[in-house]
Amino acid sequence: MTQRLLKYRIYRKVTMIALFGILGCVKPFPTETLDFEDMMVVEATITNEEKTQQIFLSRTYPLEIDSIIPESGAAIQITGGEQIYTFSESSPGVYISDQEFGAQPETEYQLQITKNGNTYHSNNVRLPQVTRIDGLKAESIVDENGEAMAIFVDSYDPTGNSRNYRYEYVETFRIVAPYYREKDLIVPNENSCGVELVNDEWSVKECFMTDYSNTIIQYSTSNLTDDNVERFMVRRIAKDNFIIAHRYSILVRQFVQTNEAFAYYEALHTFSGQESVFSGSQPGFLQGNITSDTNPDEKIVGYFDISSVSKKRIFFNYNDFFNGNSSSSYTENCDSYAPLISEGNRCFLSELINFNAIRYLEDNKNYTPGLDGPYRVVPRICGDCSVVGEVETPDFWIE
Amino acid sequence: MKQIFFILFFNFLYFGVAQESEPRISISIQNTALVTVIEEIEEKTDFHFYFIDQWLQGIKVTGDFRDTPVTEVIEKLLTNTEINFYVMDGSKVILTKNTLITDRLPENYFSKQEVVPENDENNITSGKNKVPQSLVVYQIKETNRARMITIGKEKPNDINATYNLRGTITGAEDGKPVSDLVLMVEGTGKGTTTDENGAYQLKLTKGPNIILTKGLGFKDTKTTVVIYSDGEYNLQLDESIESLDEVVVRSDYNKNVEDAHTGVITLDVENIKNIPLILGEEDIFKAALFMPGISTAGEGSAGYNVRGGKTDQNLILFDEGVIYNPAHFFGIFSAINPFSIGKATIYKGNIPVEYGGRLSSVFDIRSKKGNMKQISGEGSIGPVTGNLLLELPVVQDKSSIMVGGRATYSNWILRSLDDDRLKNSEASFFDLIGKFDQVINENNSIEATGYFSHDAYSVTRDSIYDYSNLMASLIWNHQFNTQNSLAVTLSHSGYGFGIAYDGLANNDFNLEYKNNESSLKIKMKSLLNEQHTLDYGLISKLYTIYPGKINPEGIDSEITALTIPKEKGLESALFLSDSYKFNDDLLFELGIRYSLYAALGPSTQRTYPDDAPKNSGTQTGMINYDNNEVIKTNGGPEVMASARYFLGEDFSVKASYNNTIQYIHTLSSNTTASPIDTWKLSDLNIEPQRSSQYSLGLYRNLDAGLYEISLEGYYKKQKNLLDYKVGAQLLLNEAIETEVLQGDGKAYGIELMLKKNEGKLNGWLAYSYSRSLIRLAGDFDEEIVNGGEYFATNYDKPHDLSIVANYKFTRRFSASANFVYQTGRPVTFPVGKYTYNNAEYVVYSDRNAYRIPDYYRLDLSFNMEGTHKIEKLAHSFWSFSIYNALGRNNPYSVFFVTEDGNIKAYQSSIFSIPVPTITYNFKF
Repeated sequence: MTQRLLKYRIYRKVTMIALFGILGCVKPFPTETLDFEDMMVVEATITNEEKTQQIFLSRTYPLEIDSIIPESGAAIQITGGEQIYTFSESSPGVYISDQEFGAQPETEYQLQITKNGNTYHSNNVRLPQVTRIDGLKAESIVDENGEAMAIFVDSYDPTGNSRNYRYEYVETFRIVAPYYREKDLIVPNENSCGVELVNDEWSVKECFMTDYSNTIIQYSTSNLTDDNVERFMVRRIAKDNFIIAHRYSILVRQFVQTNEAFAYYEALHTFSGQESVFSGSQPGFLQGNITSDTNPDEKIVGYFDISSVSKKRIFFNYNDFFNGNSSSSYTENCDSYAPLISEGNRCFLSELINFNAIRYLEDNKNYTPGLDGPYRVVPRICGDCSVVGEVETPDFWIE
Repeated sequence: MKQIFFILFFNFLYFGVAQESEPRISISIQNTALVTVIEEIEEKTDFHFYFIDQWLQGIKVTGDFRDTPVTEVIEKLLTNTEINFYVMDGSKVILTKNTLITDRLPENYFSKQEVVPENDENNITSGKNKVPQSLVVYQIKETNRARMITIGKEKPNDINATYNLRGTITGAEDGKPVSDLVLMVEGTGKGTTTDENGAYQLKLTKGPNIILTKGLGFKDTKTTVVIYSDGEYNLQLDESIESLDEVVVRSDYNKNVEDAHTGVITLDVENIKNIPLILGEEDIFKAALFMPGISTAGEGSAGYNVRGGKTDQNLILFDEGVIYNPAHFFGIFSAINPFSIGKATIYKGNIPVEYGGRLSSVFDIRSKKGNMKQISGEGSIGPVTGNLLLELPVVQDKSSIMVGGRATYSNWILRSLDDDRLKNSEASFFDLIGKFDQVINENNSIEATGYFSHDAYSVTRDSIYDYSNLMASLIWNHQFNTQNSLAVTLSHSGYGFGIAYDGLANNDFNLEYKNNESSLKIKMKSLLNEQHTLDYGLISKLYTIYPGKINPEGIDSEITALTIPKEKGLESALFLSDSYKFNDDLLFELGIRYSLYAALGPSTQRTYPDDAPKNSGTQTGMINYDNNEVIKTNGGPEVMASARYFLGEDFSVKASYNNTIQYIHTLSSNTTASPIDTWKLSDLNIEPQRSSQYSLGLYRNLDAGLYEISLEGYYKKQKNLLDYKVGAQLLLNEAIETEVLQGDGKAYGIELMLKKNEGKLNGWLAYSYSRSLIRLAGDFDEEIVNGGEYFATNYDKPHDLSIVANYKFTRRFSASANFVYQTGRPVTFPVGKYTYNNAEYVVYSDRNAYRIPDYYRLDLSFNMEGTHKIEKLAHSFWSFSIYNALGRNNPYSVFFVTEDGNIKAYQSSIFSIPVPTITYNFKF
């Protein structure tokens, strides 16, 4: 059996203890990279789904920089089952398979990358057991952090071979512009400061937003008698989070991982999680399963993972679980104001309109010429959700 | 707030009692013997009289007193006699003949001493060193009235030139043995000191010898011993009145220069109460951190690093029994009741051969002997804990019991907080100690000690952690004759922790870990002759470790019960050491210990080829071992050799070599020690750790021991230190060897200590420059860290400066300050970041390439002793302290987390603000 031990990540939850809470503190630490090391980063998860598979190549970048540095111009192929699957770069650093394929059971796959004459290869990896999500439920819960919605997964593998589960999710939800009005202001004549109140045919009241999971969510049943995932919480959403203020949908993808891949992701998660104040795990370079043929000392970040995947989607509304309406919104700064039409020969209100920075809210009841303007307005985002959201209803959306 | 009221209340209560006037007595005497009157006063009041019977012979007194203060009665009664008196501690009346005792030194006392150095009687020599004049105790004439005893009868044809005198020295008041008392034979330079049981042995030349005793807090004595055979002379010493003065008589003032061992720290248990420590907790471990060469990774880390050694390399002994994790609350407090401690010695290297099994140090902590005369006790009330220790005589002068307990009430504080998260947190601890001392007869005594500590804490609602230490020891001391003695020790120690998890899903569990050791030690001491003193014996230890057991909790839990099989090992050693006095200048301490360790079955061990890294893929097979079948033996000689040479008076040089072997190791993938680190025995795949240390030092006392200076350097090499692969899982792992790396360690340093022992201003300055390095250069990629080069360990802090100062304003008021400066400890710092799975992660490369900012801290305290008034409840001691008075936000660690997909860097610190504390201590 596996040498890898059981997982009790619980003990890593010791983040703060009481006395520390009173006397100690955790505060941001100003950093910069001291000795930047440039390395190749390979993110390659091939699934058993028949589809165009994707591989991402990038480079490490210094701590003080915030943009991904894609690795372009590499040649990538995956060999497996006497087949060679080649990949082409669709956009910088994004490589897609030239043909649709899904990983097959009982087959060993290897990733090969060539870049600037250097070649890299991964260990051989096999597809683990394919196990379906049996149930995905949304429930309201109360825990030490208050009221929330929890998304639970159930899954059962009667063969007992799956054991290592990793989850990703995509959540899509409706947002509503809090100060959407049927009317808006336009500037009829570009050469004057005058504005006109007309029917608003451009602002959008209801939009959709989509967000992706960005933490490593794992669960192991290797310490359980049955290979049974029961009520595993993949997502917790605080009651006052705006994303569940109206209608919410979540697509959960369950990956079954090999022991090695699971361990790699788990270590990555440990290093990136909140440290215990009283004991921190010793970080170091996390060796994946990709090595350089040309220079064995070169460090490659990332892991070539073959996972089986199963997905499920659910929908719910805020008032399915809670009374009344949520007052939470995707935007908070909606203070209204009444800008002057002009001051001297400078236009104010029309300039804001031309910049598409505001939306009409209401007439200014206390209009005092010279001191303020005739219309109260809000920032555009408060009256038009298309600033942050998609206007189109997604194909999968069910009301 | 309640707390404060409580303390104030105590305060008022206390003063109320203290201000009551002294006791009065009504007595009518008609030409009665003074002795009889004294007995009557003793009966009617709490007063005790101390005198020599002969003085009072024939003295008769007369008087009639109605409700008169006792001291007035005594004064009147003694008016026309040759007897003077002095009242000490309120109720002890010391009678003297022709001698007036005062609590003040005569004017020009010190200068006189310098002018008249040639006073024969006071000019005692001991070895190379003159006993300095300022140590001579203030006495008037009394020295001339020396006692005289005769031992044996002069035989006409006696060819022996010398005889042995031995005996025990006890305090007259409490009957406790007096240790470290200096006995000197006047005019010969010969002398000795009493051991911890108050016993001494002296070789005397036939005929009259004048024996002088000098000891801290006791009156000096001078006895003429006329000796014609081996014999015994037991002595009871009166407390010295000088102890009330600023002149402190020190018994072992020259020990640091004379002793041949390097790297020894003796902690003065009494004095540490003045050192301001966190939350007012008196703590010898924390006090030890102010000494050079002893450090921790940080404020919140359990475990000590001694001279660049790992935290698992310290043998912490309490009455000879091992305490595995003497820490409460993640190391913020130590877990041994400070009031129970009699003596604490730390060996930082050059470890006496009777101890072994750990590479870096021995903390030899001894509890004090219980009071065999009267009930006494000590207690303290602080903001976090309450502590009480009682000493109860069972049979007068024969046996006593000591019981102590300490518990925290911090839970009460936590629950009263508004913060919800903290409200749900819990942290509590307690420790208990019990000790029984029995003097069977003059040659046999027994000490039995029991100790238990327990900590429990929880952070989230779903899990509770707890850990405990248990220790029991039984010591039998036997004296065969004046030359030979024996100590037999049986001890048993255990450590364990548990995790109880009760969450939302189907994985509730209970996890347990524990380890035990039982040991038998037989140690003999033989004084061969004036040149050789031998210590020899054997020790055997049986270890059992239950590495982990998990059980489902509740009917819904689907956790599979799992028990990692227990480990067993037997460690035995023979040891012999000789303290060899080559001549007056040169002293050797030579010792050898041969240790043998056997890993025992039942067990299943995995085998791996030599030419491949150990992991599940390379495992070649398994070997099963039956119960008590030997899996593998390890062992070897461990040498301790040191020499001291006097370069001059009060000035010596010492050199030493010591090698050690360790068969039990902690497993920890954390950067600092934690209570859920487990222990692991050496087996087929895990080699014992080995270490050797060389040291050289210079020791000098100035101004008759008022100042001590020492400078010591050391170089230490270690082998097979345990480290771990990145992301290692150690708990409940059967195949630990696949996660373990073994590497070499190297540590070196220089330690400077300046100490002023006495005076209004006393304290010390300790500075060390040291490095602690490790190299993980396995044969395979996965076993190499930092390219196989030496790199700084997690606790490598090159510069370490501690200053401890205490200033006495008056006898009652004093102020103390500590200052600590340390180089920031190394941390592993990212070399960049990358995006993976929609989130940013940092990438680490070389370990410990960066250091967190330097650490410094100032602590202040103001101490007030209770009044020396007559008739009070107890002797009290108030301490008001501020820990981290500068409010320096010392980073404890720097770490990087991925929050909402982005990297955030944080520093954590434990005590980032000044922490004021008020503590009340009392003693009765």
